[in-house]
Amino acid sequence: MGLFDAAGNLIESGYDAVADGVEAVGDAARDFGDDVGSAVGTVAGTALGGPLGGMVGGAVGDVVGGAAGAVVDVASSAGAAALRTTGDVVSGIYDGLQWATDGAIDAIGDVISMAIDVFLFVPGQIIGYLDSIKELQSPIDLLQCDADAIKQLIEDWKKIGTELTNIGNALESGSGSSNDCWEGDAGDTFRDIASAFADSLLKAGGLATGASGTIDAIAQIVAEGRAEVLEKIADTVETCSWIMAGALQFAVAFPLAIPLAINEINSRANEAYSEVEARLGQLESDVSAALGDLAELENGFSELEGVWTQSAENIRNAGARGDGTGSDKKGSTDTGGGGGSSGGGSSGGGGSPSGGGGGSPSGGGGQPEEEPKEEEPKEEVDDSETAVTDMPDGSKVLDPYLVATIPEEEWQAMAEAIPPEKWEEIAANDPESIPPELAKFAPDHLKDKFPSNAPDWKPPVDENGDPKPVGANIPADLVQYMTPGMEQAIEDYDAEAGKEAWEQQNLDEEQLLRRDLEAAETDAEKVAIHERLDDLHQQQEAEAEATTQTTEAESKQPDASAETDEATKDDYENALG
Amino acid sequence: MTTKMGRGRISADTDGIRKIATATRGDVSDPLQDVAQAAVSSMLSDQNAFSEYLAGVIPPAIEQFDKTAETALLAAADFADALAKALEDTSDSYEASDKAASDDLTALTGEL
Repeated sequence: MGLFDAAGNLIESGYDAVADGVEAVGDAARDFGDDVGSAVGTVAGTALGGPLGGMVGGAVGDVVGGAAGAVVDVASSAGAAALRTTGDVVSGIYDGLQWATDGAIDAIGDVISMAIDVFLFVPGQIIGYLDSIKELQSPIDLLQCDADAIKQLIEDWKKIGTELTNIGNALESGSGSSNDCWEGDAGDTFRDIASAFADSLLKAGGLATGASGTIDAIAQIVAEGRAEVLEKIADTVETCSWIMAGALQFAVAFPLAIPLAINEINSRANEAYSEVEARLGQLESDVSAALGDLAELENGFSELEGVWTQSAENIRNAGARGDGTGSDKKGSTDTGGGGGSSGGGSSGGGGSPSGGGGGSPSGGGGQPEEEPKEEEPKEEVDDSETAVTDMPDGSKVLDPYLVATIPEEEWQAMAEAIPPEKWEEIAANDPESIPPELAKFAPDHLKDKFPSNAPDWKPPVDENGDPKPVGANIPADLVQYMTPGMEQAIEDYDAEAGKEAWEQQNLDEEQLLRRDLEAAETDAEKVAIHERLDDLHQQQEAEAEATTQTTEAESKQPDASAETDEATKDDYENALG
Repeated sequence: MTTKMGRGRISADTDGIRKIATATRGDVSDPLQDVAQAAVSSMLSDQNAFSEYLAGVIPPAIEQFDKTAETALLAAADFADALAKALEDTSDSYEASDKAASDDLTALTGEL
């Protein structure tokens, strides 16, 4: 750019400095208009209609010749004053660009656009040969941004992240303090769930904060790309300004300077445009990559949504099922036994091998008139979907009746798949965290560490002393060891069949008959059950009588022994006199 | 009221549990709904905020993200609601259990 620098220096030394910034451009343009406006207008009309008319869009050689003729016309019509003033305008463009570079990025685009407009006005009648410069204006327009809107979006997501974190922390501390008013399995399980929920909210907060950062990063990518594009265009316009200024300076003495300048300007503008296109492609590529990060954060929200939705559904389904069971059994005075399944769903109480009877939120059903309403949606429940409750902490709670359908060998296979060190860890830290069905197959040397393996351990019972349906809690780190057979059982799960299986496994005939009696609707059914119960009682009485007789018969031996003892005692006393 | 085997004591202040339920709604569920609303409100009002050149690339992605986040946060609020309801039911259950035990004792005393 040495030649053009020299030309610029020449111009600057010959003319006064133009006012600063954009005003300088405007002032220069006005001066130009005042001084030579009418002359240029006249010449332009003449030139476009005459020497240049048929040459627009032609070969470079033609352009050079035509443009040269036009400038000669300008020179002869308006004289040296016109060229001097034109140089003033170019100098103003340069000053304006310098000012804009130091200013806000949004202003740069405006100034460049203005400069291009003014620049195109300068040559007047030869504008048709400088379309390449005008092309540089379109990227500037396309890259206009709304920085305030972006800033607001970033702040919004930052705030959402903070609020989610605050809610998660409040839930964590609030549930922790519930220890004072709620002790026992249900309370513990609630605290576990609340803690897991709080963790998931903190994770959501992290995702939101991440979104804020990602959007910020995207804004940065766009801003950098835009700045580089504007800088490239500004440099090109500046260079072209000097080229034109130099050409105008020497146009009178060397008319070919103008067409040569136009040729050079077009070349440089086209080159710049190619570079701008490449940079825009890069910008789009960078933005796409950053949007990939946003998509990952979106996936995070989708996963959380799945967990939350499923958990809420499970709680409600379990609650509805618990209500039904409780109402069927005891009506409004149900003491919670029927609510066990609900506890399993909501608080996980039922999932505890130790019973968790306290977790029976459904027990409050108890309003008979609501029973039909509760039963209707129950029929719509897909059993396989409600067989397992996915807890927010990653653990799974298997429905009590599902547990009854899982063969023992599946539990054994799962137990064998769990690494020995994992067994050691469970036995040492939380032996009650796994269901008795699994603990039963613990490694031999650890078996006695699990309470449910104790000889005197008995399954939980309800307030009537009857066995109580209890779900199985599979801790998150053991879920991976569930067997394909278990998965199949879940898929095939049918609540009615599961209930039947559980009853067969856990209730004796009398208990089963009493359950049937509660469910019986016709007198005939009830009579038949009563008759069977009577038979059973008679049979039991007969068995008891037989047992008594056997006992009495057997007791003769101890009696004889007693007699012997007594005789011995008498003999002893006699011996003593 | 059932008792847990092999573990310590059980105590439940039903008013306390109700307060937890209320707090779960007031401090978790309701704010989550507000946050979900904020998520969807944060959508770009200016489609060309990131420039006209990228109008077809960035705003749709952000809009989709906003909607997904809103749906997720509404699900979280719903879960909090369900949890609060379960807590209320638990409180009811404890009270019903207590009343049933009281009735049983009264009946036994009457027989005596």
